[in-house]
Amino acid sequence: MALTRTLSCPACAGAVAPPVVSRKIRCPYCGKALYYAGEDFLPRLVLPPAFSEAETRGLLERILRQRLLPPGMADRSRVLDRRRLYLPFYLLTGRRGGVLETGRERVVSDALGGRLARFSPLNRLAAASGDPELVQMAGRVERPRVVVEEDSRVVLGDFRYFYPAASLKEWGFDDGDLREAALARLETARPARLEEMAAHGEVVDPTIPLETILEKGVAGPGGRGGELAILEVQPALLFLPVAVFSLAWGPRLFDVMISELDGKALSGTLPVRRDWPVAAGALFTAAAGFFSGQVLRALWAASSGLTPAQTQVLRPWGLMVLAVTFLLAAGGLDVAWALLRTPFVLRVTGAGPRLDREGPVPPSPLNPLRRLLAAALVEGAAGALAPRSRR
Amino acid sequence: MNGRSPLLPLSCPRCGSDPLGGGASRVFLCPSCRLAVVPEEGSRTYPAFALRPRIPGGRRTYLPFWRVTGQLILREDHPDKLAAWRRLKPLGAFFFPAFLLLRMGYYDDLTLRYGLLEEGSLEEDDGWPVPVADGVRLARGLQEQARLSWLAYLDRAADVTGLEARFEAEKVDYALVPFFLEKEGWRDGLLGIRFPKGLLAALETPPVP
Repeated sequence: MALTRTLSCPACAGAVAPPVVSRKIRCPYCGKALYYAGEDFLPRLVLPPAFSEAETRGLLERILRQRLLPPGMADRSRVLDRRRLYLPFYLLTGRRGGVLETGRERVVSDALGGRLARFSPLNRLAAASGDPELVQMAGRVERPRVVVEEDSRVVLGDFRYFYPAASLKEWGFDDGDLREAALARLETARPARLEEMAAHGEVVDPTIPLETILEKGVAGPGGRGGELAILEVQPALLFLPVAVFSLAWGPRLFDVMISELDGKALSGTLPVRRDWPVAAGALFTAAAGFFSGQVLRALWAASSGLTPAQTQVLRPWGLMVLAVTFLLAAGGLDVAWALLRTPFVLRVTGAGPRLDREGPVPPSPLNPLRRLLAAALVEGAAGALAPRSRR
Repeated sequence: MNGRSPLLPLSCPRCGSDPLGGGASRVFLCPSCRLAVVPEEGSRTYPAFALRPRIPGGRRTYLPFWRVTGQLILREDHPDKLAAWRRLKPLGAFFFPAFLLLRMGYYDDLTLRYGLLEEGSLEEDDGWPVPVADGVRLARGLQEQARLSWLAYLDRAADVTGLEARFEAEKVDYALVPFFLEKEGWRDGLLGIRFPKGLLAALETPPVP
């Protein structure tokens, strides 16, 4: 909608600023009333926010009290900024109509004829004969039939399409998250007064051309051949209010977007409480240590009463048990490390909160050992799988 | 725009005065000449008139409709179907909304109900109504809409499969229908049909000409 080209008055050729809010303008030089006929001018509507500022703040607090977030975040985080965005969407309403040939199924049952046929001498004869073909013919008389009769349905109805007029990727959600709330509250739409809206928030410019929407989203008018034809399309630009909160938690900053139509959290990232992963990591480490200790103790107890010959026989088995125990303990420590060091964040989405990784997991100190083990295993396996030369 | 300037002169082709219309209007009104002017159609004019309310009401707003009068021409040889259709009450003029509305479905029923009004039961108002909602829909595809409205009506009495029918419009004019804003919603001034308040929310602050 960014009309940057200059226009000239058809009466006096004076330069006229492109219209912004009205198709009807007046030439600043000759004063003539003019009409802007460009297809890029659309009626603009806005859905008013359904929540007051305090209520929106309450919605944010409810989000911040989620269990996965650090305790006390709702009370101790600082809201640095709260702003409103008016996001643009195309609303295409229109009429579609045509005559659909549908056909109509009707069950035809000759009930009286069927009952009489049962007593007819011919049918009795057929039944007595035992000839399957004759019996089937006799049965067919009694069965109701389904007849398809020609029928049409005249359809003349409205349609409504809702498409984003600017890319929503930047804000991390899609139009589906707002569609339902917008269509449900469509009847509260009022003419958009851009100056008034700009005083309350940032009006986002539409960047996706309407032609793209009309080509891809709506079938071209005039489609015939039994299908419903689009008789009329009326595009409008609909602005939806969205609240964006910038929060500080410790040294870090986070953003949360909330729909001001239905209070739904749309996008953003939030910190994840560290005490749970720390506790889980400690539990894994303790479990691994306890298990290793128990195995070593059992081995020690078992080996103390053995003769040297028995010890000799059981040594490889003992070593294997030790190796497995070691691997389990190392695995437990690895999991604990991953839980402690992975930069988890809570990703806010229209479908609900999702635990996500903000960046890569830092390399574990056990990595050299893991590589050594992997190399030993691979080489061992390679050696075992290597083709043996024929003698 | 085929290289032409998108700025068009806006004046009544009959008297030269500035026609009335809000920011979203594509159809303008000249109250002195009682004409609707469509700049996008080379300043084509249509007769414009306001209808007098048939029922009493409070705060009044006029909504513009394209009123299409004409006749349906049929080719059907089936005598039973023809007899069934003849038994139907003939439809009068069709009213198709010219204002912006976000749920058109409400008006399918209204178009039919207005079409079933007795001929001569609608009277023109003497004064010029205020406020009038912007006319944003051009008189395009009205003939086909009228044909389908007729077919949908006939289909109630007998199946229209294979029916060859065409609608010949005799007259298209711009009718301003009175609506009343009430506590619970809107009520049309011709039949008293109630609509949800939000339906015409876009007209909460109706553009005054």
